[in-house]
Amino acid sequence: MTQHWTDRLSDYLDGHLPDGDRALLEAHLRGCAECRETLEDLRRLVARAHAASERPLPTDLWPGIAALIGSGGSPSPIIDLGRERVRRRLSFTLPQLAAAAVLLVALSAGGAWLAIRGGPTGAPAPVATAPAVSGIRPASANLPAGAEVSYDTAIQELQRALDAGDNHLAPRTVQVLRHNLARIDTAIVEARRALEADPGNAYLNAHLARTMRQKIDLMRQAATLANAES
Amino acid sequence: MDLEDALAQLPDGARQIFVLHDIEGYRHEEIADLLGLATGTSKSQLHRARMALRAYLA
Repeated sequence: MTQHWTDRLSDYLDGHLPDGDRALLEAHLRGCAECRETLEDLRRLVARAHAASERPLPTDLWPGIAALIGSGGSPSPIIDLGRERVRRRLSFTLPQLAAAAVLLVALSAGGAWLAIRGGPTGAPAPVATAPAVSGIRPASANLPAGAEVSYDTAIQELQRALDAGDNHLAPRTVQVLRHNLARIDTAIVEARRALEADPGNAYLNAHLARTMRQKIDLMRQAATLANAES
Repeated sequence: MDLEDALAQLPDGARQIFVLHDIEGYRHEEIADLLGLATGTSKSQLHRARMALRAYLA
């Protein structure tokens, strides 16, 4: 009985329980010291995690990364593609860039890989098949050669799509995109290298996740622009 | 044991979901989209990660 309630504590903590279930759990908590203690432990753990995300990047672990992402006063901050954006109704789905398969590699220790691939329909496909528990395929020699993202591959695919298409993006926009992607890709490589030496480091994991997200967001911006221009 | 040591004990998938959600602030829908999971799986994996970390840090 307690296990049933314990399993719902994270959903309760995060505000995901429907009203009825929340009321039932709160009634249970009033009478169950064990569950109250577990809930408080989870609250403290989440607070520690939040604190971990707010600590400054250890520059000795990651020289250059802070400058690249702008937190260290980089002389060449990442250019905001927003200024290049056309004013019209835009979609945030990956567009149908001809032959543009966008693969992202990220992550952490142990060489976990994360892939988001836009196929011919332009819709992002699910992550490559992976164990049901984690959803992430561990990096190994068994990964298909094309599963690893590379900046060159992504740019080549994008450039091919642009050349084959109708020049959906202005040359200046493509230049800005290439510049930003190069900086982000360098940051990803450095992050992965740092994580190989220190896989459990919360800062590095969080930072790689942020950098990965920057790349996703940038590719989506570019895709959105291309879609809007077509 | 500090949080980083405890994180290193987790399986890769569980660690990533914990980092993405509790440290990085991604929503479960975003994590599910990124990792190719169902939202419910992301939630249950997060809970298991938290309970494991709680045990390591006790």
